[in-house]
Amino acid sequence: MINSESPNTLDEPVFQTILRDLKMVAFKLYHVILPRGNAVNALRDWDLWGPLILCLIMAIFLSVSAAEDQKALEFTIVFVVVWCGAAIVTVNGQLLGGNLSFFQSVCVLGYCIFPLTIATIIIWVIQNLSIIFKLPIVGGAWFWSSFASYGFLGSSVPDNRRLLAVYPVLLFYLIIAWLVIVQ
Amino acid sequence: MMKYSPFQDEPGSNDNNGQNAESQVQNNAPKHPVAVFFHLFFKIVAVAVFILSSFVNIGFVLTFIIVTMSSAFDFWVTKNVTGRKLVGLRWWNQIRDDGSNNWVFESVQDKSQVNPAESLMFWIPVLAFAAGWFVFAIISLFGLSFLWLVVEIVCFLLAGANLLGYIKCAKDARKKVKGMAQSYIVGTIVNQAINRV
Repeated sequence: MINSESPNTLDEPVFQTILRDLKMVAFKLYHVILPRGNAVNALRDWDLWGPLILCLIMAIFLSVSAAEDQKALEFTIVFVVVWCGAAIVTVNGQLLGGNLSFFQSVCVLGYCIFPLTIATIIIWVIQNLSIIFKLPIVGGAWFWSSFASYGFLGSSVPDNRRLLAVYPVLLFYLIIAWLVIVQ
Repeated sequence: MMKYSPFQDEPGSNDNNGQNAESQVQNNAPKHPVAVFFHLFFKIVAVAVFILSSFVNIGFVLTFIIVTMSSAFDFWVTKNVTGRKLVGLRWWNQIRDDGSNNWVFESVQDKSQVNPAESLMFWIPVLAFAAGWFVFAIISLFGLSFLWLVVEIVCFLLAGANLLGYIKCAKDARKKVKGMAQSYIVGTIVNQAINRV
């Protein structure tokens, strides 16, 4: 006697539950790497797994290369900057009349740090990279992050305010990119 | 065959057979030992590592990662698996096309499938976990240790979200049962009236 309109997932096997969530995360990461048109579907089921793991990976690699007494601080700063930054950018977007919910937007912004996470790992793997090589790598990742998030978020804000919404997003990724460069 | 695999809580029983047997046998022994285990496991790991880290120096970063990931796994397990296994509840938060929130609640209609002991074993850890992180966070706030405060806030938000979701879900389930009882009573009255005419 269960409503036909509500999903009935109470008896599904745990295996299926895990698989569905893993697929969801992979699907979104794929969309960040190759930003495409039908981003709206990827957005509707938000999750914070991707952002959490991407952010932890980035924080680990950045804190490993920090000085011994600053590891804890560096790690926490990266973590707080990513989450609080995403929250602030989201609130800004909503105040400008965006039609994305809070968690959807945080989810998108979190997933879109993926290129910057990759840049962090590249720079960590190739130790002692000079700033001449670091800049284009991080710059490219920054552009990629911003471009991917624009594909998701751009359509959610009214046309005449789009710049006001996009500017904080660029700034948000710029701060993270700066954290990556100075590692 | 494996005695208890995490993917199958009732070993060797088909869905229909298992349910029939369940509703007939009313025992207090936990029917989902695996679910109870995972319901407690990540919670205990998170809190234990968090407390131990102040005695054993394993480094802030490692503690942060273990505690946060345990909390995240616990959030997932509690939200997606143990809730429906132990108390027959599940909550979803869906997003409508205009960006507004939509809470979706699922609950089993047959309350006899829910074991009272398991129900307690579900609700007490959920409550205690959220309350625990709240207390830890207050202590850190007044102790001015802001690095730890970050960990505690993350864990509290995860635990609190589950607590909120399940409280709403339980309320909704109660309402549904009430609504069904009412429609049943109305139905019988109407039937009797029809029979008399």
